[in-house]
Amino acid sequence: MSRNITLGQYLPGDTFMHRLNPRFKLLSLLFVLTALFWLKTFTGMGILLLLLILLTAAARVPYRYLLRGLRPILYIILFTLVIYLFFTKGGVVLLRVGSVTIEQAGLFEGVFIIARLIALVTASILVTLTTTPLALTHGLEFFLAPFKLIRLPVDEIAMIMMIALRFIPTLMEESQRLMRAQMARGADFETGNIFRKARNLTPLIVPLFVSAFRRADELALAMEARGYRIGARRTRMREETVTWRDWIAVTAPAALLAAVIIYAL
Amino acid sequence: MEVEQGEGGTVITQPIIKTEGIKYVYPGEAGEALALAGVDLTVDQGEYLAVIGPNGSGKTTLLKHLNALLIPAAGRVLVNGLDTAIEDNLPVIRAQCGMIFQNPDNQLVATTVEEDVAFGLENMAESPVQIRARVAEALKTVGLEKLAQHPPHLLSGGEKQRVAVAGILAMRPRCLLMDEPTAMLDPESRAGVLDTVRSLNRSQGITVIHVTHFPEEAALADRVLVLDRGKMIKDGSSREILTDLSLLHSLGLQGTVAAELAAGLAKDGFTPPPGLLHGRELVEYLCSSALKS
Amino acid sequence: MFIRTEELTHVYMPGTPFAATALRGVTLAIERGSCSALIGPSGSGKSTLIQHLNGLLKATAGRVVVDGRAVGEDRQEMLKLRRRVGLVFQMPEQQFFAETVYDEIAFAPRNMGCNPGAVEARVKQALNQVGLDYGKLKDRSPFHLSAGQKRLTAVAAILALRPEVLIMDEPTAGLDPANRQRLHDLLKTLNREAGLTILIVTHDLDQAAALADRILVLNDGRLVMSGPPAEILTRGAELRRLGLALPLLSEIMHGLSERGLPVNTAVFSLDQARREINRVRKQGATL
Repeated sequence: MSRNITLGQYLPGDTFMHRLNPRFKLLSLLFVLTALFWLKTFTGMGILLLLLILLTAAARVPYRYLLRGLRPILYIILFTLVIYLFFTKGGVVLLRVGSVTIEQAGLFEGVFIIARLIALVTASILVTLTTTPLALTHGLEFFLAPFKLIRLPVDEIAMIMMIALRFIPTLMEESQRLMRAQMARGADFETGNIFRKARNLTPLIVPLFVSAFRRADELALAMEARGYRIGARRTRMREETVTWRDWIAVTAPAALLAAVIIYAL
Repeated sequence: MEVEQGEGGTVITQPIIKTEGIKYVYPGEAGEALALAGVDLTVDQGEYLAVIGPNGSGKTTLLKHLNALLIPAAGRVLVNGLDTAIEDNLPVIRAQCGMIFQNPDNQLVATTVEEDVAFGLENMAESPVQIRARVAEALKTVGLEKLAQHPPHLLSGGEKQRVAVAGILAMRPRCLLMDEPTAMLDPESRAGVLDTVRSLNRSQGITVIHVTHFPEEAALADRVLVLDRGKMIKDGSSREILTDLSLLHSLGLQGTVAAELAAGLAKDGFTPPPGLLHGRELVEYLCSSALKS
Repeated sequence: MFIRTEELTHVYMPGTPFAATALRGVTLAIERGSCSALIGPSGSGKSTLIQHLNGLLKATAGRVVVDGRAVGEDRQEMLKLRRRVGLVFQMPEQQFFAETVYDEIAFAPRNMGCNPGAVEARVKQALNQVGLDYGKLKDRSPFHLSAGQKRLTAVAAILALRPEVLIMDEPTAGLDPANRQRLHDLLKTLNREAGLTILIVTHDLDQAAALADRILVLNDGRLVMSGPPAEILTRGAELRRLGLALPLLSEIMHGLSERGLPVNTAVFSLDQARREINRVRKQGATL
């Protein structure tokens, strides 16, 4: 069912986070991530985490969405913590079981590292939750603009990205439907060794390709009929307006980064 | 030739569409029968024209010539006086003649409804302010303003077709070309799309050229063309053509249900008036004369 | 009863913010050898329902019973069930993948583990059943057939399972009137002569009335009406409220009846309508 397929993570809303210019948003994300890697003290990390918590509240993003985003890296977080706890030595011995010890340095560094991981993922999720995939594409397009100098067809690449975003849910739905249709003809996609499985995919892949090509054909025709011409000048419905908010959104993390570097936070 | 264009109503100084002996063969099918074998057609601004014919009769091929998706191999097509074979005319022709395709899924480009409606205007390099105003207006006209932010894949087939219509409307076209726009829709959506198009024709004077294989849809038009094997074999009022059952049956087509039933009743000694096309006319005839003695 | 569902409920992606209930406690029964039509507006749960009948989807609550056995978890049972209950999806020619019509139709029997001789026999029989010429078509590419031939080939690909039940989702979607008629005739023949139990899913009351001996109406995941076409079609107001267009003939007959003529509004063919109008005329003459 198509209704179950959501693309990206966009959470509709109308907060200042949603309204930020996507270019500025991406740029400030870049500053925040850089600051994260420069951070060396718990004070700095504390300030940054506080900032992220405030932003999450301001964007009206429910915390469970952040937690859901963190779930995939849960094992990485646990694994990292365990490694640091047991292998980084120094400071007071906190726990001793036989010859295995957990020492203060291990705890501190482990916690610091996972705080960094969590902050990194949270910041990225905040951006994707408050930016439509299309706006993200526009933002990325801006950063790709310099490549126009080396004749990279940036506008066309952006168009391709938009079409991909548009059709991924459609094709996902179609592959589910095809799979069931072939199962109704006795196809088996579950058993057998890897070679057998790969061969069994033919009845799925061939029709998917056929359909994708037909869609591409029809879409190209429809785009042409609506006046799309490669290389012709186009405008955009959304003006990328820049307000004082956008400047704040970029200068604040830039200032944070500077502070982190200068004061060695 | 220039056309004076007023707001809404247009001063008609020349036909919106004129084809002169157009012929077409699909590439790679040389030696095969012509897809179009010399079609002469004149359509005036504001007409609602249906095109019917058996599969492979050239309906879609003809339609694709009318906004320069195909260029005739012989003869020429003039859209509002502009020759489709001249490359420089294309942007204007495409803006004046929008096309709705059969599959609602494969003509929407963008990830939200409003971005999709804006697509044509963006191609015309209109200003962002202008685009936003016209997108809002077009979505209102087709009654989808509430869905402006929705991704297309969450819409029903009928809603998708209306988004496609809005995308064309936003370009302020003079003519709407439709290639079996309801073939993949359920009856309810079908009615929604047809109502929208009909009212655009009535209230804004937009010319509609509608390829269909449903007789009841063709009956919505004022004028009907019949194509067979690339030739236009009949051109007349919808009443005249959709009740000409011997012609339609010889091509494997059907008349409207009312026309078919009236023809059957005529064999039983009823005398329905000639040119009976719509169900309500048959009901009227039966109630007022035939069955009330 | 051959197939029945008991309080069948299906929720897509349960327990997520995207949870969507498609079926809400559907109880229905389909008799062996019958031809039923399942109709309902878009999104009423029709496609979801039929995919339960051969085990492609699993009930969230309630159950499906086929020939006295509840559809369960067992894999072998499930594979057997899919052979007995053949399901043709909407626009089935979009599933084609093989190089020849033969291989396309042989897909199902090969999956069943038939030996080459048995496969050939089944392909021959299936093509024969749908009225296509085995000798002429078996080596053709299924992608290069006409629209009508493609649809028939897709039906043959399911018939090669030799199912007892044939379910078709929107059997005539996208076909022109001539091919639509051909498919109608085929379904009638399969039902009456080959004895297949048939269930079609359609938006189209016209089609349901022309083919089925029983109509099931689904709305918003619930079974809201069921009965013979003659009964369902007299409930015009209810059907219109569900957004289902009445067959055009019925519209005319309803028009006559609203004007006070004593016609039976449940007619399914031009001939029936003609007879009915003539009957009323004769009655009028004798009154």
